[in-house]
Order: sequence, then C-alpha cells, then structure tokens
Amino acid sequence: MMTMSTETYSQKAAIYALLGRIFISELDRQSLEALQEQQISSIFEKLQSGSQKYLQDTRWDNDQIEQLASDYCHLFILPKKSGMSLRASHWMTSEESANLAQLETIIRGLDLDSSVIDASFSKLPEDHLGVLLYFVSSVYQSDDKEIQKLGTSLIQLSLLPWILRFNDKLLSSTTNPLYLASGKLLLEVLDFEEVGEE
Amino acid sequence: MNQNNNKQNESKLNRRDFLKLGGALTIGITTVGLAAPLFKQLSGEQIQLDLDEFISTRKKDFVDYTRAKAIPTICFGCTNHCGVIGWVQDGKVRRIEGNPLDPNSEGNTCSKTHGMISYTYYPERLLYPIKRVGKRGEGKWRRISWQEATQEVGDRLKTCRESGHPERFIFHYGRDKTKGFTKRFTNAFGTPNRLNRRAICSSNRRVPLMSFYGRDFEWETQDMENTKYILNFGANPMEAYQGGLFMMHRIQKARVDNGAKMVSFEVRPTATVNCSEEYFKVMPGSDGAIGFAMANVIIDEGLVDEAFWKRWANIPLAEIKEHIKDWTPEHAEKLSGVPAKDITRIAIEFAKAAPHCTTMTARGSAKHYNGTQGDRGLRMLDVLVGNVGREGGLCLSSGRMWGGGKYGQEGLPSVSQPKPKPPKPKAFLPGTAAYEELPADIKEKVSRMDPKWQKKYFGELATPAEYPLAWHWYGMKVGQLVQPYIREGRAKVDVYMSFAYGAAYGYPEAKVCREVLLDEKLVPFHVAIDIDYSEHAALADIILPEATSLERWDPHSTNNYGLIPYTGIRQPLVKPLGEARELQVIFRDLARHIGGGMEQYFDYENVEDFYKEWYKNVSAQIPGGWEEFKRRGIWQDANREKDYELYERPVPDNELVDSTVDPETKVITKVIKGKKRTIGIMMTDAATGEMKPVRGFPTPSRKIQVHDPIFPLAAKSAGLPEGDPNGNALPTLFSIPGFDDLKEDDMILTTFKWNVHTQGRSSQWKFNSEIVHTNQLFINPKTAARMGLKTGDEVEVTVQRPKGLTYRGSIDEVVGVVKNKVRLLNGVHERVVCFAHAGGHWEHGAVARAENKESLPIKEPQNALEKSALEKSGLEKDFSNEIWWSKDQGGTGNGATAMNDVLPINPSPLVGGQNWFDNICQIRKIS
Repeated sequence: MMTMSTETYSQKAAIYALLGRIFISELDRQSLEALQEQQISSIFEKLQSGSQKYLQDTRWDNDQIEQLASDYCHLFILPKKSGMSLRASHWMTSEESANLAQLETIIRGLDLDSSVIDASFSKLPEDHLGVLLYFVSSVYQSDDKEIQKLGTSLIQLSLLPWILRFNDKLLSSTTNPLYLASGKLLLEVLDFEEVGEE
Repeated sequence: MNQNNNKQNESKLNRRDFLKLGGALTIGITTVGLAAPLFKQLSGEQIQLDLDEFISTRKKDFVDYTRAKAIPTICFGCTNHCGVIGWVQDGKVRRIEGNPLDPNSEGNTCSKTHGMISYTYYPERLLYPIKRVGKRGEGKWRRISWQEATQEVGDRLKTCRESGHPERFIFHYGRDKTKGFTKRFTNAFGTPNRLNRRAICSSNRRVPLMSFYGRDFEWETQDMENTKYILNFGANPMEAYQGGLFMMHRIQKARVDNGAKMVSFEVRPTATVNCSEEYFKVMPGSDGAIGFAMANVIIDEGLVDEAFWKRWANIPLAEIKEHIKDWTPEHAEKLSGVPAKDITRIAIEFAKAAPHCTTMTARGSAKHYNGTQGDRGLRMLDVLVGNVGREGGLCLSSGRMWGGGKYGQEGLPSVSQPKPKPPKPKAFLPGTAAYEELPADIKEKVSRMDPKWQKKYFGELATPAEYPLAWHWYGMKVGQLVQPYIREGRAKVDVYMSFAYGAAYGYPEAKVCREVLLDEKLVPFHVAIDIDYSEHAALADIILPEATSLERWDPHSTNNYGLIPYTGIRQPLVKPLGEARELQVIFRDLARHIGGGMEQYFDYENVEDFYKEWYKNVSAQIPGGWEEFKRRGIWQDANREKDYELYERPVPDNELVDSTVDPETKVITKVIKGKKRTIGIMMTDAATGEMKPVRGFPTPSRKIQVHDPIFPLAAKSAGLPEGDPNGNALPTLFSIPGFDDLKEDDMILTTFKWNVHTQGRSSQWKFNSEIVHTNQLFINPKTAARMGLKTGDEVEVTVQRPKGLTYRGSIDEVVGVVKNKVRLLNGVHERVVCFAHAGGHWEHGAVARAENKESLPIKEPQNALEKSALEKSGLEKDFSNEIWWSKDQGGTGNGATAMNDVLPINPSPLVGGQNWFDNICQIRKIS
C-alpha cells in the first residue's frame, strides 16, 4: 500500500462519508439534490451507465423519494428473498461477528456528534455497513497520522471479509442506478485502499 | 437482472476521479447532508489500545468470563419461562445458562433458551418501523420514523376511541407474557377485544381443571419428584409441554431414585414414551374411554379413597358408579386398542400407589371433539384415589401474580400493577352502542343466554355466544374463529393490532386468516408489533419492531413444581437493537397520543421504574431491595411450607368477619367489593369432630365439582340439541363424529411439536433450525406396507371437513390437499399419520425459509482487492450459505411443508378449543 498524503485521507474520508450516507438510510431530498451536482453525478455515470441521468432528470418530489425509499426498504430492510442485509453479521460467521462486536464497542465508546448526523444513527446496529463506513470516514478525518492508519486496519477487519460478497449480491439484486453505482463506488474505493495509485 | 450490472470493474476510477469526487464532496460537506459524523474526544491512544485488544482477542474464546457480565432474566424460548443467566460481553449477549436460583428449572435449560440469542441477533430481524407503500400483502414497504408511526397508529386509534365504538379496536396476540400489561392498554382504551390463542393451545384441557377445581392454577402441578406412579395421557413433558422442563428432571429423579413407574398412552412414540415403563398406542380421541374404564376398575376393586371422595367430591360415589358402569375395560379396548387386561392391571397399580400417584393429561387427550368430557373422566381418577393435593400426587399450586390468600396461599407478598389501574370495559348490554350494532341473529342468541352471561357479554370476538365455556371462568376466547367471524359480519373492525402473532401461517385454515386480513373493507387498518417479518406482519399496513426478551422487562410468575411459590423478573440484558422498542414504550407513547385520559395509566418515563413499583412488595422482602432482586432474578421464601392440601387450610379469622355460612351446603360467603363471593367451607375437623372453616376449592360448592351444572347450562345457552353429550353435567364418553364409520383407507392426521421448536415461532432461530428443519409425515411401517409406501415417497394428503357441531360441520367438503414425504416410524398408531406443524414458512427470512439466497459464488480473485479480501475473510459463505440444509446446499431444503392451511378450523362445542387431532384424511402415493 502506498503512503497517503493528508489530502488523500481527506478525500477518502469524504467518499466514505458519501457511501455511509447512501447505505445508512433512505436518501432525503437534500442528499439527492447534492448528488445531482455535476462532478459527483459524472463519477457515478462512469461507474454505472444511466445513473447521472437518473439522478439529474428525476424530479425528486415526494412520490419519487418514496419510491426510492421503498427500493431501499426492499433491498436492505425486509428479509425477502430478493433483499440483502446491510449488516456484517449476515455475511460473517457467528464467531467473526462476535469478534466484530469488540470493534463495535470501540465505535460505541466514541462520542458521536449528533449535531451532524441523524438522531437515529446512534440506534443502528454497530455492524451496519453505514455505521462502519462512517467510522472509517471519521478516522480518516483526524489530523493524527496514527489514527489515520487505523482506518486502513479497520477496513481490513470490518469490511474486507464480506464486502465482495455483499457487492456481488447487490449488483445482482437491483436495477436502481443509484445503488448500482454506489456498490461499484464502494468496490473502487476499497480497491484504491489496497493498491493506491497504479 | 441486468447482466451489465456484474461488470464490476469496467469503468475503474483513477486517482484523478477520486480527488475530483472527494473534492466536490468536501466543498459541499457542510451544506448537503453528505458529511461524515465527527467523533468527539477522539484519542489515538485510546483507539490504539482498544484496537490492539480487539486484534489480540480475535482468537480468544467466544465468551471471556473475566470480562463478561452475568445478568439474570427469564427465558422466552417457550411457555416454560425458565430463570436464566445471560453473559453479556462487549454489549452483546454471548451465552445463556440456567439460573440455579430458579426453583422450577433448578438451573436446567434447553435448546430454546439459546434461540433467544438467535432471534435477537438475527441479521434479518426487523429493526425499523415500516409502512406499506403498495397494496396490502404486496410486500412493498418503506421505513418510517417512530414519530410518524406513532402519529398514524395513534390517530387511527384515537378516531376509533372517540367514535363511541372502542370495541372496534381489536388487539390480537400470540404469546403475551406481560402479565396484564397489554390488558392495561386495552382496558384504558375501552375495548374488550384483547384476543388470545388459548383455544389453539389448551382450553379443552383447562376447562376440566377449572370445572373440577375452580381454576386452572396455570395447569395442575404434579408432585413429580415424590410420586411413584404416573398415568400419562397424551402429555409430552420430555419434549414440549407447559412446565415440561420443570417436570422432566423431577420425573427422572422419581424413576431413578424412587422407582416410580410411568405408563404412557399416545398415538406416536415420543421422548416421554421412551422414558416410560410401558407404552400403549391408542386410537386418537380414546383416552377418555380408558380413563372411564380405569375408574370402573378402581371402584369395582374397592380401591377408592372413600373418605376423600365423600369429603371433597360433590356427588355420591354411587351416582358416578352408575353413570359410568357401561364404560368397561372391554369397551375401552374396542375404542382404543389397549387390551382390557392391561387397563385393569394398570388401574389397580395406579390406585395402590395412592396417594403417591398422579395423572398427566395434555393436548393428546384433550384436543378432540370429545376431549373436554374425556379429560373430565381422566381427572376423576385422581379424585377416586384421593391423591389430590397430596405428596406425590396431583397438586394445585398457584403461580399467578399474587393478590391474597383466597386459595390457601396466605403470606405471599402482593405483586400487582402500579396504580392507577384503568377500569374494565363495559359489557354489551341492550342500549349500548356496541350491543345495538350487533346483527339481529346474534342479539337473538344473546337473549337466550343465562342472565349471568348476558351481564358479561362483550361481543362475538371476546365472548362468542356459541362458546360460553370459553369465557365463563376467564377470557380464553376462540381465536381460530376471529377471522371467520369478522368475515361473517359478526364484528366490525376499525383498527386491528396483532402482537407477536402468527395466525396467517400457523392457525388452522390459515388461508382464511390471510383472506380476511387482505380485505381492507373487513380490516381497514392493521398494525403489527413483532420482532421480525412474519407471515402475519406481512399483511399489515404498519409494522412496529419490538424489543426481544433479552431487551425488555416483564414480570414473571408460574406454578412451581417444587410447590413453593416464587416470582422472577425479566430484565433487559442489552438495549434494544436498532430502533426496536419495548412494548411498554410503544404503548406509553400511543396512550399519550390518543389522550382522553388514557395517558394517566402510562405515566412513566423509565420502564424500570414501572416494574420497580410493580414489585415493591417483593423488594421489601429482600435485603438489598430491588437491586438485589435484579441481581438474583428470582425471589422465593424457600422456608415456606409446600402447597400440599391447600383446601384443608383454615380461613383466617379476619376474613371470617362479616361472612355467612349456608346452612345446607356449609359454604362460607362474603361480600367483597360489592360482590358476594365464596371464601371457604365448614368441614368436620378429623381430630376434634368439630366443624371448622377451611378453604376448600375455589369452586361454587368449594368442593371438587365432578358434577358440574355449568355444562347443561352452557348447552342450553348455546342452543345445543337436547341431550347432546357435550352438555352433560357428569363426565361423559362419546365418539368423535365420523370416527365410528371410518373406511379402510381413512387415516387420522395429527400434529405434534418438535422438542427444539416453539410452534411456528422458532423457524428463524438458526440455533434450533440447524437441529430440526423438516416435518415429514410419520407413518407406521405396517400401514405404509399396506399402502405401498416407503420412506421418502411423496404422498398427497386430502383432509376432510370434520362433522358435528363445529365450524362448517354440516358441510361435506374437502378442506385442502397437501403434498409431503413420508417417513416410516415404528410405534405410530396404525391409523395415524402425524407431522410437526411448524415449518414451511414463506417469511421470517432465509433461515425460516431454509433457502439460500442467490449469493454469487466466490470467483477467482480478479484483482488485488479481491485477493486481499479472500485472504482476510477466511470465509467462503455468507449467512444464508450457512443454511446447510437448504436444497441448493444438498440438504432437505424447506422439507418442512406448510400444512396448516389444510387443517380444519374445528372448535370444540361450548369450549371452543381447537380439535387439532380429529382430521380424517386419505393418503395417496404420487411418487
């Protein structure tokens, strides 16, 4: 792995935060309008054809937002055959999950700034993908290089053991361009962690 | 699915892209809501320390007892509710063990205890309130906030309550062990329609207990560890039975240490049968015939404890002798298949062991068309030999929340809900809005009722007119008729709230329930409260996720097979996962939203404070008070005298003040809270010959009511034909309609419970489903040979509509046809095919469905990331791939077949208990 600059950590922190937001709950109008921004949506387009058009051309009125929320619910909340869990414990063995709990304790031990996030965040299971991504993002936001390095370790421990299978399932379970692009972005950023700049 | 989706790396981003994306996001970070949360007090040293520990302990044992904290609570795995201890480490419950302070379980547990961990941490557990966005039942939902959920459900309830028809709020629950907390909510609301599943479970066997002894005492409490002889009629405490776990080690102790003998009469070989000294296969529904025959033998052989009978039975022995004289062992042999000589021999052995002998009955004997009367016959055996309440005999020890000593249990601290308590709903009397809304034919039925029942009539769902004995003693209801009655227009619904309820899957003819729930004209609004996404919840409009038993409070009390009452507390070991909430919080917030006075009964912020108040009199008994009670989880005065012969205990002098004695019956009565109640009976003291006031039994006569006039009264009220045996005041033997003229190929389809499962509720408990995940049809090898069947053959089962005075009993029709595979098993009755009714779920997630998701197989690593991920995970499977019994893993798959749709709705006359085991069917081999 290549040495990262502080600037790089900052960029990665922002991307993990974006992914955390996408996976942690349904997107609201404010978040969707942010995703319509040209630079962001063009990256999504590179990952998933049609996603930019989907983000920018959709009138994000209440009906459309509800449809997206329904997609999210169907994909990530209901235990339906075509759905999939966002929780690491779904994808890891019970023993691995138990070990993961210790990481979750660390997360719980850190005092989340509730002014920045939705109040329900603190009630999410600690092994939720959105929580884990947010945690990595926060670690990367630190100015302390030692803490920044921990982010890489945490990715290896908490995400890499299962994220490939998660992503495979995601990409085969939905036609929603936003979630398809997000899954691919997640893979790309994790790949970037592993190999750095090629 | 779009195949292009799987081309994961076709448009790989480069460093420039990342910087571009990261930069764009960073610029907008404070304005667009895409920011990462910041952590306060972020300390590198702290994280480093914890992370080091995390990494170093990855290979440690699952539970590190040097760090884990032990917290006692009460199991919710089945109906036993054992005291247990949960080991909590890193904020999670890792292991559950028995609590040795529990005098019932004595520290024993079973596999279902571990199911609690499975369902609490089930990755597919429902953790958020959701609201449907498509048609009901279509499966389209969106997450909503608790605020939105409370608003919408609360508005619906408020409108219903303020309409003047609070009874149109239906609360339908599966397993409610809140000890009256849900009743607090429905009473505060004003609806009597708090409906249960008692008829599905046990009402046919509770009625004989309540008729004989005045109440069911949470079932009888046999003094197993001191007994010498057990007559078991269709009970299975070694596998699945209320109190089974409390009984099994005591039975074994009695057998091994005391040389006790157990004789079982069953239709199939159970674990209890395997622990029995003798086993007799019996024709379903013939247990009563054996009981009456044994009674004849005991009388004829002069083995009756005449002193006991004369003192406590409410009819002369000669009268019962005359009544049963034709039901001889030879007669019983014809009906049951059990040789007359064995019936005679066993009856004599049983009586000679008295009082150290006891009967044991359960669904096997009771859940038949003739089961209530048959069980009354079996109950009579205990009275004849005088073992009632005596050491080693059939004892009656109350375990309910204590409120006084009226059953002879003086001296126990009162355990009662905090005040103020809401008033009870008002009866549907003529002139009330609820009564006037009843259909004309129902009003006519109500008018035929005895006045005492008219006064406590609450409509057809809570108090069905045709089933007065379902609600004479207390509200057992007739749960399997709720949906049919709604469809027939016997009751109107505004809000239907289901709570931990699975009728849409697990009730007889469950399809009827589903049809009604899908009809928005019949059920305009359905809110489900459950811990996961069940078949029933899937038909709701809103689902509210509830905390599990490891995350919430409940009071606990049940009868103790050690015969000294105790109580315990279910307390949260961990906080509710996700956004799940304790029922006490859900109801509190709804009550406050509804207002109109409801809120005063839910005036607490902290749920623990509510239960602390509830248990204040118990805490006062313990040095250290509430905190010490929580630390122990159980309270009992172990020095207290055992509950033997409660009926002989004196009525205290202070209670006798202002009481009167009936000169003829000697029954002592007293006006309590405006109502005349019996509190005891004057009986001759054996030592002095003087008349003294003793408790007796809590029946109208304060004696054991072998003769009970409530049966003919109920028959008349319900409009049963004159002379129908269901309405006989004396225990009576009669045939199940259709059983007398079975054709050669007719079989009886019966069900049973697996020892590691709890009805249909446990299929998503992975721990348990790993052990048992099938429900083949078990059949006797001789029968199979006659039909040309071998293990693994697929058959078609055609179930006929039962005959008699039951649901659609006059209609000649097929209820349903289902396919399943057969498994040959010695010991099954030749006329019986049986299967476990749990299984074949289509909801509850991947474990319950026993299926693999379409997780793509791990490919050869394509890049550094994939290679690294594979190396780090050491795993090749996701959670659903761990379901090794799924078909695509080469297992039996959901070999469990959903069969409840073909089991007929079949309530017993007068009582309403579901006759699970009267299903005449035909078997046809199809492959």
